[in-house]
Amino acid sequence: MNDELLQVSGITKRFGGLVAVDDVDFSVEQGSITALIGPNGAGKSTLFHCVSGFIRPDAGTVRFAGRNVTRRSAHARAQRGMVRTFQIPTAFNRLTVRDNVELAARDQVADRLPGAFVPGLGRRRRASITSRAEALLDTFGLSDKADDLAGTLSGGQRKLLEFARTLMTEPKLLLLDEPLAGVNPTLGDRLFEHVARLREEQGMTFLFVEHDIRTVMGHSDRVIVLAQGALIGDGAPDDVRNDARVIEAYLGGGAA
Amino acid sequence: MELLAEIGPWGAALTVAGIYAIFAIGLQVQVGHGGVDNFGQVAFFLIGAYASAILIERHDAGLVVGTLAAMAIAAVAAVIVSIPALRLRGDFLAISVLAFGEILRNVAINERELTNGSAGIDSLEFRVTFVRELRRTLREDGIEIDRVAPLLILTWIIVVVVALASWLLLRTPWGRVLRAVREDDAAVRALGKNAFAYKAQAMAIGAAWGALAGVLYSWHQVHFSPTSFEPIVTFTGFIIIIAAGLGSIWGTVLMAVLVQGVLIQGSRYIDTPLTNAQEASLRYMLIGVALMLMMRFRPQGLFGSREELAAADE
Repeated sequence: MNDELLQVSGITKRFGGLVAVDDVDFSVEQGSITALIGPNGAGKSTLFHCVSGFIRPDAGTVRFAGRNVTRRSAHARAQRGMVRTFQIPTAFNRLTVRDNVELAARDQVADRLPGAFVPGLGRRRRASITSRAEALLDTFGLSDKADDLAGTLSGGQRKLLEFARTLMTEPKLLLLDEPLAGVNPTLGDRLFEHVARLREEQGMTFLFVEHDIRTVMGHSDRVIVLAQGALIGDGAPDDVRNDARVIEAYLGGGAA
Repeated sequence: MELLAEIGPWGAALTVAGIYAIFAIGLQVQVGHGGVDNFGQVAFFLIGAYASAILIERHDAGLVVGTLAAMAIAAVAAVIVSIPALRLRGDFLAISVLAFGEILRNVAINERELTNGSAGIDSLEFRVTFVRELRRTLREDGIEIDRVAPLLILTWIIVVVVALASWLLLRTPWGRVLRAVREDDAAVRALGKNAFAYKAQAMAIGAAWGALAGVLYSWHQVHFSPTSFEPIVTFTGFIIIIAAGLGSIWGTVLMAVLVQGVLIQGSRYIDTPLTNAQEASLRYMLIGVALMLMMRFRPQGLFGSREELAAADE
């Protein structure tokens, strides 16, 4: 199927005797907002790392935009347009907020060797990067902080900065690792307003991990549920919420 | 020209200071900007000295070719060492590159054919052939220069070129990504950039500067042996970059003059009632005290930014 941007099949990851992710299949449609949920220890993070390339699975394949990327490194996947964020937002502390965003732009000739050695190379590209970064900082309310070091930002601002920086890479699929963790409800709503707008305006696709089933309901159009490393639910938010197995996983505490 | 006729001991001290400036700028690229704790920089210093001396003295490579080849060998060695070492986290990496330097030094002590063991080897071409020719030519024109003047001038021209090239390169978007790798390499990978390649490139460039310093050191010494390549050389480089402030290229040059030129080399020419051994001990005690005072009152180094230091703690 062409409208499946991400196809995950048979992903298995073991840590010693523990099977963290057990033969999981799912796919993410182009232009969708998909939530991956599950109680603590369900294997969401491990699965997320396997998809983004930060962990190599023991078995299974990850296909992105029609290509098998299972053996591709994390940065190679990101170059293709599959870009992740982190649960604890990462900022390049000793760089300015503006530099944090600008450096993320793709295809900069001068950010690689030997291109950097050639004076003036990529100057035109730099001008467009500067104005795009300016616009993103404005969108996320960070313009006033542009020349401050990122290390001085508050937790919420760091979350926004990470989001702006990620968008600078012009992703096709954005993988958000617990975007609501440690975020106040107002900021959380703002983040998801951006998500909805980006899907609307640019057709961007989103996959995000959360552990709280209620918070994802209003924000996603599809929910995938993981418990004890295995997929136990996949469907529209309302269907998943009423699924007996999902309720069991969340309330029953994992009877095998 | 009067000035160059009789330079005296300070000429030698300033030559060594310039050599350490180049050496420490290499560390500044790796440690200050790349966040790679290279505790084995002396290994590339050693490669520079030995490789250039062997190529120039025994294979008639010529001064320029011999120097460039030595720098290239060091850069390649740095990338090879980086492949296993850069996958390690900070302190493990520091120990493994420290060990690399010690392995090379012990090979140099025990090997006879190439390095002539603990007796060491000669590097005569520059001092004996080149400088002698130069002085003879100049004397015909009625100009008299000191024996150490050519290397002193050459060293400081190279210091300026290396500092300027490093400073310019670190200001490019490449330098910006390198500093991002220093802050958080996983986040850089997540943005589609090969964080490992940036660290390896920083190692290679810093190693090439280290080797260039080693070449000049061998010309300065004329004869050298493995005892010149102990870990203290690396740590003197670290003292220089920490006192200068991590990241500061021009501060590194000034600090190399203060630490190596004045405190370590220059102080030898101050008359004291102490024995040489006592003076040597006192010198390192003074450096230690100075460093402690600096960490107390100016932890960001002389040219570092306090804001950056504070921001790093987040």
